[in-house]
Amino acid sequence: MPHVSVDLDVCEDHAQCVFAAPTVFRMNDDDRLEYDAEYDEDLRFDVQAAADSCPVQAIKLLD
Amino acid sequence: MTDRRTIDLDHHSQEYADSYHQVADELRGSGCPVAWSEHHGGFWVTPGHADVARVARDDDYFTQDHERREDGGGLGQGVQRPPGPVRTLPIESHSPFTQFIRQLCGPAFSPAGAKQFEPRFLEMVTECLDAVIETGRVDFSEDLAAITTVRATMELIGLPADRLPLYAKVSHESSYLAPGQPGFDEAMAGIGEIQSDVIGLVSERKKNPGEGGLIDRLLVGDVRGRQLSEDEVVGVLMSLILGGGDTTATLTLQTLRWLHHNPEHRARLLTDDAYFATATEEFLRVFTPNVQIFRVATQDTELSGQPVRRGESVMMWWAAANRDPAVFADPYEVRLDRREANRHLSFGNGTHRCLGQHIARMEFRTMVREVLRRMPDYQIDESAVDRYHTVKTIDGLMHLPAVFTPGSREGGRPAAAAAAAAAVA
Ligand code: HEM
Ligand code: SF4
Repeated sequence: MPHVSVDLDVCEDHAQCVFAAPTVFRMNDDDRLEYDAEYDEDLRFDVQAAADSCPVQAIKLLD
Repeated sequence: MTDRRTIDLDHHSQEYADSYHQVADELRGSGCPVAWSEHHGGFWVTPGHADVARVARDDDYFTQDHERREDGGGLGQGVQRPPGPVRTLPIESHSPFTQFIRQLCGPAFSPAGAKQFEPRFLEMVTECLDAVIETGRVDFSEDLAAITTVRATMELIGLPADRLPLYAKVSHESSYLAPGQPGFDEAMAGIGEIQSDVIGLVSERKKNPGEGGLIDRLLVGDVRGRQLSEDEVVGVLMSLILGGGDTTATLTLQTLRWLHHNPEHRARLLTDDAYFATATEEFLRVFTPNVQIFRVATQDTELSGQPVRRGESVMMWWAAANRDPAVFADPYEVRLDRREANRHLSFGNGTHRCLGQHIARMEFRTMVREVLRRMPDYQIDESAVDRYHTVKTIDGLMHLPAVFTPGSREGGRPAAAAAAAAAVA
């Protein structure tokens, strides 16, 4: 399965990614980002969209 | 130009406003969904979800830049057809500049930022509802949504409150008036007036930085040494002022109208947060406030097999994509618990996905819930509902009058809201 990584030092919790790929990225109760590093091949398009929409470009697709 | 199917589609026409979903379905059913319209310089029309999402996302092949650049990449005409008079930012820009502006705009646009702003927004809503609550009559557009949405954006930016009547009026009217209609020239002049007002404020604040609203953040902030020019700050502020109002208002009004016809959903929406959140995405999907936006191809490519040449425009038909049966089962059905609804394109996709989406959801929730709580038996007067005559970008409502059992005030200062309502009216 492909992998994704978010640089949490850079992430500002904008949650753009959460709506682009909701099954991979989510906000916890404190409005901080949580995500699954491994995701389903089918979701590649959504995860790429999440990476594109991130205002601080904190998301890297790794394979 | 041999093998292109043409279609007589003009998004500025009343005919389009009356039938665009039907037109999209006909194209979809024809087996040759991508068609060419000769209007406004010519553009491709494509109703498919996959095509629309790709155009929105594929920055290597499509641009929304407004500037024609020296390097040959500058085919950009912005996101409107015909192109708008001013460059709006960050929409009409490319990454990395787009991301730079989005980052500068900062935490106010995150879910935490929207949550922090919620109590203040609730005060604005209270003030508007207090102004009408004892009368038993309301126009949800002029008395509520057209005012609070603009007022909220102005406060986020840090603009003086005395401008509200002008800004609310111009934001609302410029969204629905088409060229040739009475009031159109005044509305366009109003945009000019706001722009010169904003230019003045920006240069003043550049000299005397203020309280640290967004305007100051944009003026002094830098990302890796890069700062925005005063012109660029004006471009960002204009798009926020004009882009955050009627979009959010439309979602709210169309939903309140739907809840008039489907009152059995009111109670659960008022009390169940998770249900409200899922339902919001479905309302966004079916009412797609922002119906279409444009790009231009920067290289030869194809859409559903149809060749598209460099320099040709493409209409990203969000509203049609949101009813693509390949993605949404029974797309015309409003299902408030629809799961796959989060794939709607109402906030766009990719680099330019709506920066205001969390604020929009917060404003929508606050307005709808306050109406449901304080005017639980409201009834829309359908005979007086007034739709935008054309859908140049937004498919909204000018008036949504309702009656309800009068209630009592809950605080606030109704005077300011009433003054703004008088200006919009
Ligand atoms: C329901 C309400 C709203 C809808 C349907 C909506 C829709 C959209 C869409 C479709 C785009 C993408 C445009 C494109 O790709 O060319 C967009 C971008 C944008 N929206 Fe919204 N919007 C809403 C509310 C707001 C609010 C409340 C604000 C600000 C307070 C806002 C600010 C922006 C900005 C700044 C962009 C440009 C982002 C960029 O280019 O990076 N929007 N919006
Ligand atoms: S979009 Fe970027 S900044 Fe926002 S939560 Fe996701 S990773 Fe963090």
